Amino acid sequence: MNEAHEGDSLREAMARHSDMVYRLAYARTRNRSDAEDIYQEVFLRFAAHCGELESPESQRAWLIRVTANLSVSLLRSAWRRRAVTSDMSLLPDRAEPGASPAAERLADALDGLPARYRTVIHLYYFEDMQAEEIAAALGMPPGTVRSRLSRGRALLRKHLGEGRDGE
Amino acid sequence: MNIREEYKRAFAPIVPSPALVAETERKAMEMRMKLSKRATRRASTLLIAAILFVLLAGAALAATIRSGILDNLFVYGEPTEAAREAVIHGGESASDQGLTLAITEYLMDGNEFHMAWSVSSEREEPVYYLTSYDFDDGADPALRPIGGYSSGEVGDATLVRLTPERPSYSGSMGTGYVRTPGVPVTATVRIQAFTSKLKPVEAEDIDELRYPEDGDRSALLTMAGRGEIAVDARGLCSVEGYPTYEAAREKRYAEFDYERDDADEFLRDLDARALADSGLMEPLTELSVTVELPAQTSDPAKGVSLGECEFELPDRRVAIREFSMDVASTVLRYDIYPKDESGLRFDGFWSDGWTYLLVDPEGKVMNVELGLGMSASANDETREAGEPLCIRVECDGGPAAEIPEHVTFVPTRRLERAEGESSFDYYQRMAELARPEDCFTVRLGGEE
Repeated sequence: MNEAHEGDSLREAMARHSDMVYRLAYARTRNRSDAEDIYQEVFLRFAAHCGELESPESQRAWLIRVTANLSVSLLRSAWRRRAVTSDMSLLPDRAEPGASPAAERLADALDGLPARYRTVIHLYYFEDMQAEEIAAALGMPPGTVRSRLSRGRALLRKHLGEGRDGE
Repeated sequence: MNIREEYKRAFAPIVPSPALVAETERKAMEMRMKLSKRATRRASTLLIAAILFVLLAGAALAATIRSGILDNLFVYGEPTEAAREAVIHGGESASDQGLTLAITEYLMDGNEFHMAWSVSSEREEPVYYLTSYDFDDGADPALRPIGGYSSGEVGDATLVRLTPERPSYSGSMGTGYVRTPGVPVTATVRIQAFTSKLKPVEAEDIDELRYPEDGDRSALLTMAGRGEIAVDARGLCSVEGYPTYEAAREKRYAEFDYERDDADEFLRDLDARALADSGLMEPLTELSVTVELPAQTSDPAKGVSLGECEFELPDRRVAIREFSMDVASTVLRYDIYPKDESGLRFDGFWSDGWTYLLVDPEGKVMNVELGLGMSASANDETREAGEPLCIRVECDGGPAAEIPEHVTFVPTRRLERAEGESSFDYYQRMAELARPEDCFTVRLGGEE
């Protein structure tokens, strides 16, 4: 792949996967500032690797894995530059006028979900990926993904159910 | 509205700001320009396709709960002599409070890394322990797999119960995600041990109790109320789902501060601390063993590798890019160039025959025995004008009981699976339906 093509590939990948990367980072960290940091870091790393990843599918899988890994690294990093800010637990449309009760319930439920489940839950519900695809993208055994999906979904159902009970 | 719809509706508005996108693109392009001046580029260490066909999920799961490296690798047959020779017997150990953790064996064939350990107790009362594991192959931490290993007892708050009647447990793990072949690997196994007055109750499947399909945890809660703990035939058990444990865990988790200096240790110890906080278990001791392993323990001459070669078929050209069978792994990569693109679907590589079963000289399908995971992708959206359409298929699996002299590639097809039909029978039936003119045979080490 030549230099010009790699530049185009980088732009195309950003156009194609930008939202996916940002949403996944946000789903895991639940924090816009952290999601922005991860988003930038992911695409800077991608710039170094895009020549090796030819198909959109392989680019997508690479981006998912690195986004998930960087989200974990950030959560575990003891030397993070920024303090966790007050939007930690808010979906962005939650505070906006007209935010639906369903979105608010989901935000509460996601807040109650341990971070380790959020990546697989997001890829499952938003990206419509199956357990085997998630396992391949994250480099996890399919059994681990299934158990995390199972527990994550059960927790979500529980939290959402409790919210509805209270209505 | 269902959860998926709620989820999508909530996350749809979450997009990066235009300023962030523009700034990131500018920085990335700058970096791209700098990097493009390098004379050589590293070979890809990570190429994963999006469409995955797992042929042997059941067998792979079964492998994770068997102990011993060779047992895990050779689920269906006897280990090969080459694999036996590649296993290095360790001896590193740590002991305290009557417990001993010892690395028993490890194996690295250049693609895959496997390690086994044992924990034994000389104590008179039951002992429970959590296992954690760390692995460093020198790869960029961001590219390391997240829990990219298989093990029945590592992680997810799974405990092992040792008693005078069953005083030892052999654990093992394996990873097929070694990113930097040729580099020594550092691995650490760690256990956190407890005593407990919980009464053991025999259980067939502790996961079904923990994560019931219907979400009904009443059986688990009943056991929690009675002060019981479900223990399976292997000695695996858990108190995950017990209200006191979950409350203790959530309380600990709420204390987590991203800025704390011991953030890594905090997360690693979360389950153990919650266990102690819950009052269900009393901490006893911690043991860990770290070993640095050689880059390869197998004899490279004991594996076989096919060079690049191509095959012309009526409707396609197939280019084998890599085909190696080593003592612990099988790696196969090939590209398919369809001769007629009309009607080609990009969501049905398997059912439309764009992937292959591997058949040995006796006519037996090997995919199941190898546990061959298969992925496929195409360049339909990224190719340049004049560039041919290419379907790229990548397969990774375990070792063969015997490396065959030649392998026949038989195209897959859509085929209804009969009720109760085994994987072996299903894929064998699929292979037998193929037309000879659609198949080709490769001799490992040369073309036939």
